[in-house]
Amino acid sequence: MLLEVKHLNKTYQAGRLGVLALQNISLTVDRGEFTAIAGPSGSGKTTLLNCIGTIDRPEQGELILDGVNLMGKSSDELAALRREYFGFIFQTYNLIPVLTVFENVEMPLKLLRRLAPGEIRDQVMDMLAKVGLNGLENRRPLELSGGQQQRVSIARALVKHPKMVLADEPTANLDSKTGEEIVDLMKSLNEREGSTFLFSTHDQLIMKHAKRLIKIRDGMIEP
Amino acid sequence: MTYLFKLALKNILRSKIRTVLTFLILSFGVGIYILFACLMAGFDQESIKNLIDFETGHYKIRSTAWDEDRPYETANYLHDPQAVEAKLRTLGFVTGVAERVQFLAEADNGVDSMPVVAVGIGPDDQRVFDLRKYLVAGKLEPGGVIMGQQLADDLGLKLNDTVYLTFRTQQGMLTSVELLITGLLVSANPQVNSSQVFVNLNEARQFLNTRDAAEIAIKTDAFFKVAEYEPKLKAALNGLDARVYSWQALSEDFRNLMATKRKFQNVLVLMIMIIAIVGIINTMLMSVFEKKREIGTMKALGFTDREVQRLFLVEGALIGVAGGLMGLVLGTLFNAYFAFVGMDLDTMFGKQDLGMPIMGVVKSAWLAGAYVNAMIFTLVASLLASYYPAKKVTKMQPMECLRTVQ
Repeated sequence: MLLEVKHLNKTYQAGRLGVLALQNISLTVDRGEFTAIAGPSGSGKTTLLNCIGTIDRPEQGELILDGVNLMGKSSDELAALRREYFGFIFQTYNLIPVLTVFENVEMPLKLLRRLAPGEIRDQVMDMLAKVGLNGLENRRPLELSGGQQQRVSIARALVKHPKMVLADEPTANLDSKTGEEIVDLMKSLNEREGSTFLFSTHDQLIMKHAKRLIKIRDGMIEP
Repeated sequence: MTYLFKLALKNILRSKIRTVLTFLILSFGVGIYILFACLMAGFDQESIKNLIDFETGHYKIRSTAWDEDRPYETANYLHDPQAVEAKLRTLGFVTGVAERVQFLAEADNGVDSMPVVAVGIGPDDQRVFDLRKYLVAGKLEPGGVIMGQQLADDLGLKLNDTVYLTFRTQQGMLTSVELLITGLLVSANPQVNSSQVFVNLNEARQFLNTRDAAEIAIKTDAFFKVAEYEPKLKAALNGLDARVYSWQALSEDFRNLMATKRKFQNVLVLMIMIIAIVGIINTMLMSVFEKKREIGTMKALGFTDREVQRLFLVEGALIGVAGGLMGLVLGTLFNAYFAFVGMDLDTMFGKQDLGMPIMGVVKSAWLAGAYVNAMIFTLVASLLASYYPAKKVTKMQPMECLRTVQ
């Protein structure tokens, strides 16, 4: 087992009111899974992914990744963990606009500080080829289409071969054809690279590609 | 660090207009600071030079009886100036020795009179003081007197007119002499211009009926070697009725005044620099808020709080260093004009008393300290100005940043 979530609770402050975004969420994810978290807008999919990815902090519960409990870790420890374990794919791509495609994708490897510049270059070019962005490495994100930007985002998430890729509605901003292409790409990378994918969606067409489906509604997992 | 540097540089170049404006404000602030500091240093140097050349020399030797509260009391003169002078001339570093006689008098044009200080000067005076530099007409001749142009104007006198000096001899007898105005001067010291007259030393001694000297002024081969020469002078004059006063001691009031003025100048400069710092803070704050989502992304990718903070500090430092360096260039260009051409104070301020013994065209100095201070200050200020926005960012959770709508 790669991830174990136990009794997770998360509340948001909406003005004076506290809104319960996640209620008593428990689940497990094995290595190599290609799992979709499905549910309508506002059901808590994104919050759950963010909590798992340690970019949001739950109030209660346990998050155990690779046998390590993540609750109570300092922000620096969590940053080091994200650097090592997670790859993120965002709905709005979240690429750094001043950097080129190549520089965006190399960022996680630069942060890891393990590889020589030549090795980094090889890995980045290899990953860009895998996501079909050959020849676009010197472009800026704003010079690319939405689908191409999401491919850059996928390349950035996968280039360091993370244990888990968390994708928050990766196709929501794309047309259905491009969305299908992106999911096919994620699926093939899951199969070829063996990366564990956990992605949220409310799109029925995308859901059918998932090997496992976790349904969530009003912050609770549906049986 | 190289990666952060590269990222910071790209971020700075993202908003070119804003960066250029901040850069210009900063460089202009630094440039003005350098100009101001160099100009003031030039004023100070010129003031000190004028003070030495005209009033203090490098040292003055006075009687031990000399009283600061009654500086022109003839009874307190050096009674054996020749012995003092002989001793001084044996010292190799002494390049000029000049006896002076000073006494209070009343200058009278026949109708009105004004109190003045009469100074008796000998032929050796020019080896210590540079009176000729300030003469605007004539020179000192036997039976003649030089007076400040302003005093002459106040008394309605001009060159070759007659003036009467009334004074007491050393024995206390009230005496009056008739003298011809053979020279007029405009010095850098307003008091000299309005209340001093210069007569021949021997004639002054005859007027006062004395062979004494009020003081002996000396010049040495290096005015700044006070700590070295003063003890030697004291040792040489040991056993004589003589006390040594260095130019520093004689100009203490003026130097205190300069120090006070410098503090006011520093406040002004500080205000200019604060404006520059506000510019950097503004740029950095806007930069932080604009990049909130990117910061969230970077944190999600594994940047630590400290690394994000460092990124903004590097951005601030880059702006600071670039603006500072450009400021040094601007300051050099601004100052070059005033260092080579100078500032004509007479044209700018007329005959107004500026509180400093300076007049005419004054040139600014080249002050290495101002360059060093400007660069250190700019760098520190840029880092401090970036620190607050950077700190603000690090306190935010990655999700808070990512939730920002842009």
